[in-house]
Amino acid sequence: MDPTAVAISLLCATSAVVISLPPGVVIAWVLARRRFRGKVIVELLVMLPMVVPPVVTGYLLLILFSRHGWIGRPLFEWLHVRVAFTWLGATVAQALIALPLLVLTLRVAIESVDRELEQAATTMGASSLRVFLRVTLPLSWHGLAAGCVLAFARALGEFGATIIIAGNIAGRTRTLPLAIFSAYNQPGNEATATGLVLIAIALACAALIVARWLSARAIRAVTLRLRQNNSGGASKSRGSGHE
Amino acid sequence: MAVRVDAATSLCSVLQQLAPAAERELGITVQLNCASSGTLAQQILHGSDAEVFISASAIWMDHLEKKGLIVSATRRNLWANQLVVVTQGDDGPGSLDDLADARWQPMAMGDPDYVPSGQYARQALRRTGVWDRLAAHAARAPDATAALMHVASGQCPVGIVYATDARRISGVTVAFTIDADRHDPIRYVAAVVNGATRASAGARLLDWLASATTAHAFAGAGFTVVD
Repeated sequence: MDPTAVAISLLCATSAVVISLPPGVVIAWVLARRRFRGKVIVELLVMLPMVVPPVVTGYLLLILFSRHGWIGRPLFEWLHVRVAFTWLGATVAQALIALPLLVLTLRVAIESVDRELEQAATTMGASSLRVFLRVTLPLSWHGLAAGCVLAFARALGEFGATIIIAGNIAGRTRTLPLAIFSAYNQPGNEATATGLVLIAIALACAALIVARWLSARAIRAVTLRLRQNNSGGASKSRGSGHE
Repeated sequence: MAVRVDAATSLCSVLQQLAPAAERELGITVQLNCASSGTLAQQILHGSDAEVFISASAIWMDHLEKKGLIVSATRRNLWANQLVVVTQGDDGPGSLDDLADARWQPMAMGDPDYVPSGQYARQALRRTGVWDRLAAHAARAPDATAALMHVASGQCPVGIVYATDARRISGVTVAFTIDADRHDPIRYVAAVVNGATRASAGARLLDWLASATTAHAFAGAGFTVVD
């Protein structure tokens, strides 16, 4: 068994969620609340890493972050930070691939927040940032949490982009899926492979259960809000959280 | 002190065995990164921070040397290997010509596009004149050891692998050894990576791997020590 692979996976997937949170929240809010020219293009670009073969994402990241890459060279020369073939590389790849899941889930949650509540806060003089932080985000936190968990699960399972940008270096960038691949390709490691496969399934199940629980709570919260709105007679609400 | 060694998969089990001795005798902790030589060369090309590269073929080492990515003075040929045809049972093909027979397909081999063992195997099959018939039926593995696993797990009835790999695991039988004159000499080439953080420790490790101290370990694993 290779406990470091599990640890590396948990480290990378957690960091991936952390670094995808700020852009994820901003993008989800913009997509949910703003209308602008070229919105379709933004939507497309955000979704791209989820549908494009992960190897493509990994390859493009390697070009950007390698020693001679546009980002990799200044990072190394100025800060002595290496991204390619380190756990940071795995993290960046996983963040990019998990981002769409976070954005998708959070966007739906933000869209389901009653606009009248936001407008009320605005009339009372709150800035749009304050409205977002004090009204929109608290009302959509279940969606945010569910999005994070789904993103985490996707990051844990990332293989194609990770193996290109981070290599498959035992003890450094060999994540759980890569460890399974290596165990399968080495003689006498069937037991290790089976053990790692079971751990991967268990982690994925745990993440799905948590995500399901969170989104169930989110849907319940939205339904409750809608019901209150309807009984209050204010039915202009744009809430559409129940699918 | 930790030294990163990027090594061809076929060398990894013997290097792993030697790691405790390297720690004891040199004070060097060997961090092994095992993959096909082609994959490793690609990683070094893109700036991975390996100290030592040990390739299963001169092709990839030449490639890096041309780009100035290895310290030429440290480059040396260290060990030799052979290719064998393996099967799962006692009933195996008798020659490379037999491999064209449908019953031996799909045949496992390293991906000849970048895995050295696959490149040597393709040379041998080309010289025998069966490659054109086999090319479409070959299961191409990402490294030499993975090709062996295709046979050991029963996915492929035969495979072309290194003799040193074949003897490491039970459950596969060597049908025959491929004549060495059918392909380029299989030589493991090692060098210190240019600009490596701990280049001098890498050079010391390389000297040690080339010395008589470790020769018995490589000979014991079935490699021929050259030079």
